Amino acid sequence: MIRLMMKDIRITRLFWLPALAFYAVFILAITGRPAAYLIGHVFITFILAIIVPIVEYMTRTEHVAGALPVKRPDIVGARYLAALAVTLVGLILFLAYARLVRAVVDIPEFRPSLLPTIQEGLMFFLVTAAMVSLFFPFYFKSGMGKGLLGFSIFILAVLMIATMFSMIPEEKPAGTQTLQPSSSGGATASGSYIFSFLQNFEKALKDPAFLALAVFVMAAAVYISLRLSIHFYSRRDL
Amino acid sequence: MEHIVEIKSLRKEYPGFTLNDISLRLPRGFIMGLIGPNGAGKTTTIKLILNMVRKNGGEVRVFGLDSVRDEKAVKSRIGFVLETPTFTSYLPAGKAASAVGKVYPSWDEACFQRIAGEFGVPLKKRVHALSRGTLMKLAIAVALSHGAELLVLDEPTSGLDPVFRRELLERLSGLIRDERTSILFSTHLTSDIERIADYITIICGGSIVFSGEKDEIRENWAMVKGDPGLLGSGTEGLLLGIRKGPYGFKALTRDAERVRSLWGERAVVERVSFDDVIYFLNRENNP
Repeated sequence: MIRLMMKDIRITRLFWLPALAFYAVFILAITGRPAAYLIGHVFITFILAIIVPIVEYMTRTEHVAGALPVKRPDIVGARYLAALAVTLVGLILFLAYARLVRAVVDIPEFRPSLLPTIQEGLMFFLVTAAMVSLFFPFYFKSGMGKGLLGFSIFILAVLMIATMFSMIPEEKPAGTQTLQPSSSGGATASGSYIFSFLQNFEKALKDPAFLALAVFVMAAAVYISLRLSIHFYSRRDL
Repeated sequence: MEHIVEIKSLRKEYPGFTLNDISLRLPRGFIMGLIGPNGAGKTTTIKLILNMVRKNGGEVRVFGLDSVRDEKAVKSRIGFVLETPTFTSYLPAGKAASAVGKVYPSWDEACFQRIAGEFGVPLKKRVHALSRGTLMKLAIAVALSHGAELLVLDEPTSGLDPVFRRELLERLSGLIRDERTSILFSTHLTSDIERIADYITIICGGSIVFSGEKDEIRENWAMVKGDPGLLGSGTEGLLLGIRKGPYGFKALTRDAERVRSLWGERAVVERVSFDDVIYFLNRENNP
């Protein structure tokens, strides 16, 4: 499993440099917008965490792992381990990059104003882990093409449900304002709803009991995802 | 005799195609050619040996081990060449090949560099810039660089120029001289079979129509030509893939002696080429 993971890292390390360069641009571009900063980081890290399946799909080498001296559950395990390693590196970057830029860049206008907290870091880790855990069962069941399609449909469905929730008028005490104006359109409404959900989630993570519960739920989700992926991949023809 | 590969009643179902009741045995230290028309099931058989596709029935034993239960131990001792791409296209050939090779516990980088050098593979050139023939050489170099006892090669000579094809076949032939290494390769080039195979398995329409020593075909099989009036009762099962024309019939037989004793001078019994064997067997299975 470790040998396969090392192989995966060897063939995809090329993609780390452009990602790092993108970080440099991206972090300056969205300074001052914590939610955008978080979602941007999650997106980049997610892409890097699934870069091996992407590369294999693009180079039409998805089947090769099946011919190597590795059992199917170990292939799945190697992909999860690689994704975990990438997410941990992403977490370090998420927490350290702004501080590093702030320390290095001497021009006040270009200094990042936001410095992520530990709670934000945790939220970054949990959200990325959730995305990866959701993606892999789709991928191991149907391959990259159909798997990504299934994953995208699932995410879109979640966004649509979030949009619908955001459009339901809340009963509020007199004098309070709604979270988002209902006329702002579906995408904006769902985006705002997710932003506010993330903000509330981050605040809730300050509570140790909630933090423990979130970590437990995520660990269980990763475990279920892993078992599902092994189940699907063990039955797939390559 | 020790059998390196032993397949019993192997079955794989796809929508519209079934690989049915495949059984074959390859003794240690020999070369087996898997031949048949396109879509016959050669690649599926190879993928089943490598456990890349899931069987619906039967058993595959390699080195005496179950290919599913002992997958890792079995595959550590197999070198493979697939018909489809094996290497990451944007990497230099040497790095792409080493990345795959290092998954094997007994990977020998120096051996790989030497064989790739002998094959003339430009290791610094990116994989996508290599020709199909050079890619095949690269895959074969990897397959030969981790001490494999069994080489499973899917169309290894496809896309190779005649000079390298001959060199490769000679090299493969030389590999089995240690009486340790065995080779199973699929091809639709019957000249490859003629040149190096000791055993042949012929697959048509998802079923095995022959699996045994090559010499058995040379000695017993023949092409029969004669007057259509000869065809009738008593010849059922004797002639395969009968092709009738205005001046007579042409067919394949597995029992040249019986045909000679039955018809004597009235029929022409000729030595059969492997091309003819495939052609007539395919006719027999797809009339």
